[in-house]
Amino acid sequence: MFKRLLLLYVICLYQGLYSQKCEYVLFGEVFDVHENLALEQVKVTVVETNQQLSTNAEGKFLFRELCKGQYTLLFEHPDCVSVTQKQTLPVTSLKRYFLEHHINELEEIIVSETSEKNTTKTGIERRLTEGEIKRFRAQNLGDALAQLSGVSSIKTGNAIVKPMVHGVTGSRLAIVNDGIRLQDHEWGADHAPSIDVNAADQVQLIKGASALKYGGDVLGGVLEITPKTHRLKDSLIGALTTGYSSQGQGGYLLTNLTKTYTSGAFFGGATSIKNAGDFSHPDYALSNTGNREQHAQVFFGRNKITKKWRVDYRFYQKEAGILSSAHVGTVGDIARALESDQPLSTLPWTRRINNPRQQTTHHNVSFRYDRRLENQVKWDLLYTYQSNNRKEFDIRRGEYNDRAALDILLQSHDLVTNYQTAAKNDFQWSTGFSAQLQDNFSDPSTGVRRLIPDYLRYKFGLYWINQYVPSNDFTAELGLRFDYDYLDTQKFYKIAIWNDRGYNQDFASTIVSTGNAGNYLTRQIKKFANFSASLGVKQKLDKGTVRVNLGYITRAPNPAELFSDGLHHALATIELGDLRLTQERGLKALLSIEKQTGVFTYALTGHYSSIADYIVLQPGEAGFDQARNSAFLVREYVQLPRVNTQGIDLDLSYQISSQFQYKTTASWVSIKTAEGTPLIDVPPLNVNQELQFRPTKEKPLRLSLRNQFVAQQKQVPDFNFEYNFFEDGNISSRLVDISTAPKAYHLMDFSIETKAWDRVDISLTAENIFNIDYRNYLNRLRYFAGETGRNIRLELSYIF
Amino acid sequence: MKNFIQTTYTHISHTATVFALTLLFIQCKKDSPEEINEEEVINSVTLTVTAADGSSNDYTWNEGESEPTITLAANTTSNVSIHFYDASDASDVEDITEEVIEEADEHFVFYQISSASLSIAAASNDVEDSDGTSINLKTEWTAAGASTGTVRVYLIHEPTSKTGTSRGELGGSTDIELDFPVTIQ
Repeated sequence: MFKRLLLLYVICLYQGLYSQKCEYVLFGEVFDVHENLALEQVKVTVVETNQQLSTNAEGKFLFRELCKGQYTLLFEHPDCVSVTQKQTLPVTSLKRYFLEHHINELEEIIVSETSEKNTTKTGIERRLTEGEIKRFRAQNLGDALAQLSGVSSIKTGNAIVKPMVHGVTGSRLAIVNDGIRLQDHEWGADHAPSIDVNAADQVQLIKGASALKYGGDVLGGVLEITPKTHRLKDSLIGALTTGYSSQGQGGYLLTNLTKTYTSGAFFGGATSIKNAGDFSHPDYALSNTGNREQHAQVFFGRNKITKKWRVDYRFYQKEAGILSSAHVGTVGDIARALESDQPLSTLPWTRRINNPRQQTTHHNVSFRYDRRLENQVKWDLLYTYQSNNRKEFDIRRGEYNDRAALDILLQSHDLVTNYQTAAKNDFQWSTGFSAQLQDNFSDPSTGVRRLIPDYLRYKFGLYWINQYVPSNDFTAELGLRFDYDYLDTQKFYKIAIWNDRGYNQDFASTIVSTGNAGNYLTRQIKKFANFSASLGVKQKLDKGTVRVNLGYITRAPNPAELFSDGLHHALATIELGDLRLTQERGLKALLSIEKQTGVFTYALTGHYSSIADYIVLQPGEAGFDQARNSAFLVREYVQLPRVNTQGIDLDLSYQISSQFQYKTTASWVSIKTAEGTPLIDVPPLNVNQELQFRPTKEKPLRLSLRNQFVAQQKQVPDFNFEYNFFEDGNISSRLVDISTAPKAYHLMDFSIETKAWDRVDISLTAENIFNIDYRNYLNRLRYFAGETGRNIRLELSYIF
Repeated sequence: MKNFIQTTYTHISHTATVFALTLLFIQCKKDSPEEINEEEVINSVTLTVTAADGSSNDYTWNEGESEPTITLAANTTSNVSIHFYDASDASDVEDITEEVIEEADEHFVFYQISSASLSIAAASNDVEDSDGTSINLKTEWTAAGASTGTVRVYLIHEPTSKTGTSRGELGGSTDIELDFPVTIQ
């Protein structure tokens, strides 16, 4: 059935029947059955007589004066595979000639269109290679992304890894999954994005604010995860991967399967199951660091030249233990942990995950429809429903021990449409509209003050991008975007805190009622209108490309920044939002020089930004929560008048010989206030190097040696505090140094990949080969324990 | 061209319909949230000191206040019992000590003394965990000569060890940490 659909029909409608005389006629019609349209300009040749014709606008052709006997017909078309068919005349019945459509051409239209197309014409984009995605398919998205220049990871322990671009994360970095931004990403540094690398086909980073399609509030950039457009052939492809890691005695089983048809229809799915027990440092166990993950995805759809649709459902669940020694109750616990080389709580190894732990569950349903019209005119419509639930279980007393201490359900409906017009006089523009409804619910049965209050949020966005392409070498792009953000929040404030922060004067009218437990119930309605713009230029040179990008960013404070009110046990920190926060605004400029051809390729990107009213979470004036007798550190969201960032990213690759390839990525970033005070949690200089060795082209054997160097972050703000230590029966007050960053370190990894059998790939990886004891500045639990030691991973993959 | 306008128009009208339908589903009112009465906070600690002569004194610390000074008579032994409260709601003070007793295995009270000529040991009637270790809810304070100093009290949750002379050796997390000035006279 589908074979018929792919092929061209040649329909003989008439031929003469006079024997012996060369008076036969062959009249035919050529169709592109894909869209059921007649194909014009198909060259048809009768080889024996050398008669040649092209089909007309209706796809018709007519040969006259043919004799009885056998002829060879040759069909040629730029979009089709040339095919020869034998035909004996006279034909007594209607004949159909099956000609195969040019698969590459079809794929160019359908597949390459999305797979190789850049999201922006002038933006600075990097993508993970297929090999990198494969290598990290059993790991966290954050770990995989850290391979790209300019990307680092902020971690909470070893299982919760969040990507950071140019030193910023959270709502300054958009994670876009198939056209829609992930909404749970604003939940703070201790929440990892709900993306399964195993199910991610393509991962790319667009640096800076040039991807206005997805938002004008991203200082860092956009991380885009897009599904592959499937090939137009009848095939079943998939892989079954299993692996074992010595760290945590972890095992995993990953599957993915895609069935495609020549008609363009496809369906498939992916599943991942991972399970690991406690991890370990070279010298000690990291108690309660086990984790479990389950992901599942199913999809189906159909790709045709002029239209595509796709339905997706994704499920993602993760349970991660929080390092037991990081569960602290007082500032004193932090002080003691810092003075100790070893974690203060070490328990026997177990696969069990105890409190404190984090459990996240995500459901994501999306529908996408793409339409292509003549002259590159494109239109798409996307709808996504996301349900993100995060539960945190703490060490509590009695009945509360089995009850979550934090239970947030964030549901979002997103509707997006994009439209691209035809190119006209070197100009082409595209536009789009997005609408979002978001509902956040914090379950009160936790018995703990809500970290994020209940709210409804409506967001609307409109963008317009104009491209100017006067020649093949030069492209300019101007984009404008407008967003409206309406936030309707119902939040309880402790009366003492409400008064203390002066809200009783400025926000008295927002009080709805006074509760029985000493709280005001207030209704906070926040409206923000954001305007952003982007200007990009790309100039191709003899051997490379220069790109310049300027972005004007406006970002409204997110609910966490406005309303946070709660205790983070892992850091004995109380985080407080501020009702008075306004939008942050600023400019970001990027310059990139690239050389993509030859044995030596590189990309050097410099970036600079200057942001007014930059929102940052930092220790409050008092440093401690006085009301609680200095038991907790207090961190408040404050607005700094001006913050400047600058940095350099480098990607370099050198094909030393046909066997050896050397690659390096490096990034450096600095984020400081106008007065020169550095901001907290800014990634230090890091350099990744890789040497690959492939002995022969024929054999699929690949050895790779990697080195990661991370410098010490010297640019740190001073948040040290005094604590009264109890020593040998005396109290002595000493400074607790929570500010100084850990020392620089080098890590070495080695991996070997080959084919074990025909369809079985095997790989052996050793990470942190020398079992280095190090601490990571960007790990929020670095005060309590070091990083994991050596890990040996064996992976088998059956590909079919 | 006409065809093109027509298709474009169809698409735009379809989009508009979908958006309109979505707007219909938008709920505009959310139920009022329920007020949470936090019940696990320890914001009041009382040390009841019963001197050898039978006289009894309560020394209470409340959140936001500084710890009161405990006065002991020189060369005597006093019985001290400690209680932890959640006094968030003044009309309904919850005694968290009961939960500590119920979960004796997961709790330990630890004392540290500076300067003062004082020694603290578990009392014979103290609460014991399943291993028979006293958790120091009831202690005997033996005061020697006149002096002043500080007694630091910790309530430790899930300690990894209940023997040790410094806080660090005991592991777990600290629920409350208070410094009571002590005067022996």
